[in-house]
Amino acid sequence: MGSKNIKAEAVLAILFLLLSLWAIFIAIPSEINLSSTWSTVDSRVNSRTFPYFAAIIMGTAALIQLISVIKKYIALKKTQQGARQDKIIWQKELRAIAVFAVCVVYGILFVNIGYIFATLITTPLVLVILGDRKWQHYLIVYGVGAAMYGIFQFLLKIRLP
Amino acid sequence: MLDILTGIIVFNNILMMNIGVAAGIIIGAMPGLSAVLAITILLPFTFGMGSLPAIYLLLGAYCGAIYGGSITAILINTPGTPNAIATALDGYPLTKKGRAGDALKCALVGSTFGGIISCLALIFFAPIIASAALKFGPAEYFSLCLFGLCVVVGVSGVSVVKGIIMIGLGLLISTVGIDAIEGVARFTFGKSELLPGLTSAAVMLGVFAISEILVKSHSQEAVVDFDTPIKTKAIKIKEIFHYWKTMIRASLFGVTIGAVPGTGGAIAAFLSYNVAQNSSKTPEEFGKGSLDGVLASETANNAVTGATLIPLLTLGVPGDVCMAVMLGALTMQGITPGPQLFTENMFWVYCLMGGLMLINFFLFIQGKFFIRGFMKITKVPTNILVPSIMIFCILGGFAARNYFFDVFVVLLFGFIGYWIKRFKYPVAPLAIGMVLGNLAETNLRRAMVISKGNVSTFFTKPISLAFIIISLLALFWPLLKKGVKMIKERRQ
Repeated sequence: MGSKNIKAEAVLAILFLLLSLWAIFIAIPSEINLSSTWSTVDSRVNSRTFPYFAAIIMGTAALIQLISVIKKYIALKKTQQGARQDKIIWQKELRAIAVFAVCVVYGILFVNIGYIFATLITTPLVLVILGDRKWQHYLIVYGVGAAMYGIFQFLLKIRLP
Repeated sequence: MLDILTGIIVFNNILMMNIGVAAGIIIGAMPGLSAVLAITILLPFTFGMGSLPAIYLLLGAYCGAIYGGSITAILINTPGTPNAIATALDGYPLTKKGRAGDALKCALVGSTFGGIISCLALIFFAPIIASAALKFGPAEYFSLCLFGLCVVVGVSGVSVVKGIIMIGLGLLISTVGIDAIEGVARFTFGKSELLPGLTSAAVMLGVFAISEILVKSHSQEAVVDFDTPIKTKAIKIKEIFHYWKTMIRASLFGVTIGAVPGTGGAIAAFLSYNVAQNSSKTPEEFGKGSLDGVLASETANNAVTGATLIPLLTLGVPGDVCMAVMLGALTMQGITPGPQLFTENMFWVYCLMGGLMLINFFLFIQGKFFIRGFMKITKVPTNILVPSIMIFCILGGFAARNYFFDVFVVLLFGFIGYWIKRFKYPVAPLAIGMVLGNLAETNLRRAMVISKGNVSTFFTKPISLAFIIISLLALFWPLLKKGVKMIKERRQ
């Protein structure tokens, strides 16, 4: 593992740690109001207990992960390997993000203009991003879309927008 | 005996069994669509039928959908149902190695075997198992969930710490929505769409399927590495039975856990997978494409199918949502499940049990037919798969509850899942944490109310204590193994 990967690992561990701290100190107290009816029941457990339990588990594990990543980073710096830099291939990163953006657009169009037009517009975009120029592939994907429509609308009787 | 056989083997019954199985496999194989949906869709067709063909149709759909969930888990790393999450751990790596046919065949044979063993358990041990399952109180349920969570962490990746982070996240997500005990809204942020909570189907579609298409777009990696030849000749059934020990053990786990109302196949599958890994001579192959792993999880989750009928038929208690729908169907047919069913309508009960056995045979025959078609997915280029899975996910997310909001849940968790996968965090604990979260919390709180806040309730009940001890062992087993090995090495 190169130093950039380790840094990214550390960032992810910090994000999980922050998420758990946000849950413990902000989200749980503000988003979960305790029921006055249940406060008389002597169970020592209320609506907030389990979310606290989950957040503490996540936070503790994230802290351990962060410490182990820092240790790895220090060890790596001391060795020759630390000099190795991982290259970020931007083309790959952007391709994944572009596909996700198309998925989001598909979701928005699905809700607003319906399944048929959303599928007609967005599926070729994915193929374009992936650099596919075979027209047969475009037809096959439209075929899959049509088959899905048939199955959901007519066989499963699920009304699509 | 002859009366029972002639009661079962009627053209109409056989037809309904087969229609049910086929519909179940197709619906179960679609990401986001569950066994509950398969049964619910077929329910209106049973209104004009006799009680036996009606229940055969629904049981066929139930068994078919549980098996169908494994197909997409194996082929595109997207479990159709939570029961198939463990199957994806080894099924998908096998597909990547060009052995999708072997994995699908193992899943089919395991499912059929598990289904048949659970039928036998239903026929011979139903009353005994039902009375044992009744001993499960809230403390035992909570410990069982804890055990399920620990097992998932233990089996799903190289880093236990990363697994625990994911479990915590899954449990936290499971608390979104109205609290089942007090009726208090949690983490809704003023959005009414969040009141019913997040559906596991939408979260699973996101973290498994959308994340997978993003990973594939990133690497433009094919489903099968085309440098490795695709095995056209699948493994023989005789060879699969070399793993008979795994299959029998998995069936027993499935039957035992399935008989406990509300637990479901996901815990059984992970428990069975964990035990198979620990007792295997090649545990390092698990997670990288082990047939043993596929068999362990698939046999166990289908062994649950017959076992869930045990509390329904003997006590009238539906074990899960599928059984609740089934209970409704039975009531509409004028059949009241419970202890009296076994004295007043024994003929019907035996016809149902025999029919379930036959359904498992039809599952095998139809599954073999379906495998040929499904195997072709591995030959589909990634460029076609990516937009096709995108369509699948958006439709699946919407169809689970007919909520537009769920479409965006799928997308959000797809993005989270992508980064989780990129940094080699295991996804299975997140999904299982979400699935088991509600059951664990409800029973934790019930146990605490009953014991008036005394935590010792979990340690004073033998079954609960046993589960807690095994949970800790499952979690720390790799560390213990390492420690023992180090001590041995030092002594030498």
